[in-house]
Amino acid sequence: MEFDSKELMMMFGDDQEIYFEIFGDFEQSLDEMLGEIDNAIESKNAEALQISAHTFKGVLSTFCAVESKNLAFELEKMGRDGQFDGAREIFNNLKTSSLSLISALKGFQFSSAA
Amino acid sequence: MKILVVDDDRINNKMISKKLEKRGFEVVEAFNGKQCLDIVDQQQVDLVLLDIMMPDLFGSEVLVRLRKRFTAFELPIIMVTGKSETEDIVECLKAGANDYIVKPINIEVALARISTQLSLKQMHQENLSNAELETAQAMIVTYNHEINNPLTIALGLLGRVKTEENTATVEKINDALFRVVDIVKKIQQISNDTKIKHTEYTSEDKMIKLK
Repeated sequence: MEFDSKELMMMFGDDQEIYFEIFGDFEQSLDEMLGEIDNAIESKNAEALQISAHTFKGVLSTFCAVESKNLAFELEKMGRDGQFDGAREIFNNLKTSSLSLISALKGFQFSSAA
Repeated sequence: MKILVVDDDRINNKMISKKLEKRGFEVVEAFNGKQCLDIVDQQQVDLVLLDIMMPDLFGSEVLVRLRKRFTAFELPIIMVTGKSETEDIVECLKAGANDYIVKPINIEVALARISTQLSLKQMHQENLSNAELETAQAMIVTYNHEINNPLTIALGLLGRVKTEENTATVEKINDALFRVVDIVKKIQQISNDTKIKHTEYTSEDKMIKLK
């Protein structure tokens, strides 16, 4: 499951217009946010990895995307510990799950979740 | 009430800002620590929602800088944090943060905590204002007392020095002194009419002892 629909309903049930607005922002900025994590791994910049993964984790958390959020958190911890072994693989999983998330969120309807 | 939302994550920043605006708050957004400090320099802000982890300047550092200038009552700061950042939360509370909320932000929880801090701030301001009024009133009472005493003596003695030659002068002095008496009465009246007199200090007037 890409996201927790009940949780999302609770977060945005009264603010659906805000949800649609920030979902548009998320969709638009996804490549940029993933790019920052990608670059941090590529350049083995631990601090940049920690910050970029943390920021992305925050966004994923806003959309109640538990699995993707956990992957981002793994990367954040790796950045904090200066540990890059396996980071690329986790990043690839994060990228795949984020793209699935976007598709799933596009199809989300508040009326069916209620 | 104006709330400053500080978060480098523009999506979260926008989400919380829009939700707060929808619920009647005026919101200013900052996307890094430096912007936050600049905005606080330039604008009157009632409360700050401050993300802990930001790239340029950590929220905890921004907090420390703000606390050098503002007390927790003057500028309430609520830290915004991830669930895994327990140590950071403790550090921030020790450094003077008023409270914290966890991401993803539940707007009802955020509103409850914001309202609590704004109420405490307002109560503190009212207390300060009442203390200032109380001091002003005590000073009026004190000055009136200190002026009335020599005035009474002067008026009493004036009659004794009155002669045929200085009648006109003595009467002018007498008139002048009664004008002072009148002014003192008017000031006393103002003191009696203050809000604090009627609402909270209805018993005895307080006085400041003059050396």
